[in-house]
Amino acid sequence: MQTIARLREIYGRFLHLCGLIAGVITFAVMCLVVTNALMRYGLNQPVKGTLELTESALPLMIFLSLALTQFEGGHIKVVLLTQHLAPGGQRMLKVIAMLMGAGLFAWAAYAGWLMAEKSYRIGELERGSIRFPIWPIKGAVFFGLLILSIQFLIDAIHVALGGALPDGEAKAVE
Amino acid sequence: MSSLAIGLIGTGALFALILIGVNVMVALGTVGAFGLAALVGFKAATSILGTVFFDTTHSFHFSVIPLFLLMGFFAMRAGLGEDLFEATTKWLGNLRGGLAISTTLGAAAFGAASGSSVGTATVFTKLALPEMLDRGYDKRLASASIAIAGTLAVMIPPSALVVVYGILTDSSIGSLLIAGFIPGIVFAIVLCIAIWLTVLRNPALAPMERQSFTLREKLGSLRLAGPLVLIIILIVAGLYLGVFTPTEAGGIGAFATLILAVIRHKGIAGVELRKTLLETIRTSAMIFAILICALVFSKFLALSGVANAVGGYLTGLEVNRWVIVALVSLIYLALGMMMDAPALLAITLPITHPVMMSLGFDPIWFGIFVVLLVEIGAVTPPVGINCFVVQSASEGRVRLEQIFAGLVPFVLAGFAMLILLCLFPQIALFLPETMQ
Repeated sequence: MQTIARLREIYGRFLHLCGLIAGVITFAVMCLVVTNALMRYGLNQPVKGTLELTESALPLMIFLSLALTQFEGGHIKVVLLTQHLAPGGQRMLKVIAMLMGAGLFAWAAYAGWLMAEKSYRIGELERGSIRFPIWPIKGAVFFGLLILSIQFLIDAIHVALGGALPDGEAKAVE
Repeated sequence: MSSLAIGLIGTGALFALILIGVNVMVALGTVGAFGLAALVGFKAATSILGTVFFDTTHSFHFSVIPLFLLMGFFAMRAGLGEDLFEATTKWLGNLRGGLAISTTLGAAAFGAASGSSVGTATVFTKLALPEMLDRGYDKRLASASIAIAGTLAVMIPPSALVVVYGILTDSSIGSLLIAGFIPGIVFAIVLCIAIWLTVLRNPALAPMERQSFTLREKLGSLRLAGPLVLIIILIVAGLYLGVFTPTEAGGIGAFATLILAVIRHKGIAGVELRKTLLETIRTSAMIFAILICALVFSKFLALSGVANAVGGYLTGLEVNRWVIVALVSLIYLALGMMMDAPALLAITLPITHPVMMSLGFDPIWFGIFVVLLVEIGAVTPPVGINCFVVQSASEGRVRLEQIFAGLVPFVLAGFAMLILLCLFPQIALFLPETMQ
């Protein structure tokens, strides 16, 4: 029990780092979008590649932070019925829910891997005013889904062994 | 087994999984993915999964969601709710029920910037509730006026929830954002009238206590509240005139609100940038996770033929189309009592949107109508998430049943607003139809 709790904590630190990278990218996108708008209207010189960079940044923002949101219990769930069950029943349902999450996102990660691998193989490029390889972005989708799947698996084991998971504020609708 | 049978079993399984406590995104994704595998095979389902996960997030236009959220978190971090409450109180506090009216209008402006119904309710419970109770306001009126005012946040642009509707239904995000402006203002006015009438009927609910402020003091209260309102007007005007895209509106709004936060805290340290960015990406991830999984589920429903079958059945009924609208409204009100707005939209729109389109309703009008419905659901018993938030933030000052009791005139005001939208759809459609 202590080992899995410790593992969850260490993994959580890694997820925080991923989340922080996603946050910095969000801030950078805000700066880019504002600079582009000012340059376009002020100097009639828009920042080249704003559209392509912004659209490629969004998968990084989202997929690098999905697992952190799960780690902190931020994904929405309804506990209207389950809160009335006995603790054993509640735990069993939680483990099933976590294992389902692990399975779904492992499958999605596999789909992401196939997509990224194909993109790398054919040398796919982002099309627009600037061009750059798109496989790292698709690779980030795979990576984000993989770490989310692992987080669900860790949570499933943690709950099965009697551990409690954090519930995000106002996200678990009672 | 027929595709339709698989679709119906999948729909039942979705609700069963949500009720046993499975995360909404996992329930939507699992049913959608396995349903697709049953219909088109594992390989094709895997391919669809990869495409949906990447395509939904690889978009310039959808970047508007994290940027609007960032703007909201900067507004909260800047403590702009405090400035807005101070300003509206100084300008309107001497009206009958003036503090509750000030709270509603302050929450409307703050909600527009923050985009968060729950966030607005929390902030104004801490700011306005003690003030109202100190002045002898009835607990039911004071707490309920805050709970309902929070819902204005998702109507008045910029609103992330409206963008969620746009993504789920493939509707114009710019038009949707603009469409919420007049209904949001009208709903705020309807709520103020409800407060005024409630107090007129029973003056003891809100004792009058005249406080006089000089014009200088009143103007001084607009120091930060004024610029925030200007930012919101700038965003709406910019979108309406086609000066910038929704994503640019989000970026400019976030940046301008950051500047206000820096001014307020006299430096960047007080803004707690790291914490704000983490809050933004966590909420963005939560919304996109539901959106992506809902789109997987939506593809499954479309391929199975359930959406068409339900639409065909309802449009084939020989009843007035407004009967269907009433039926859909009841479903949203009932489900709105049980789950958060993005999840509710994600689960229901794959079915209700095609039905409403086949009945000839405008997608933009339906977006505003449905957002208002889910927000009324957010204050309706037995659950009403905004009421829980107000009760929890009140630190024991009010009980949950007092909030629910006080909500009666405001829920009626919500229904009045729904009827207004049905009678005069141009309230929502005028700006999108004339925008450039």
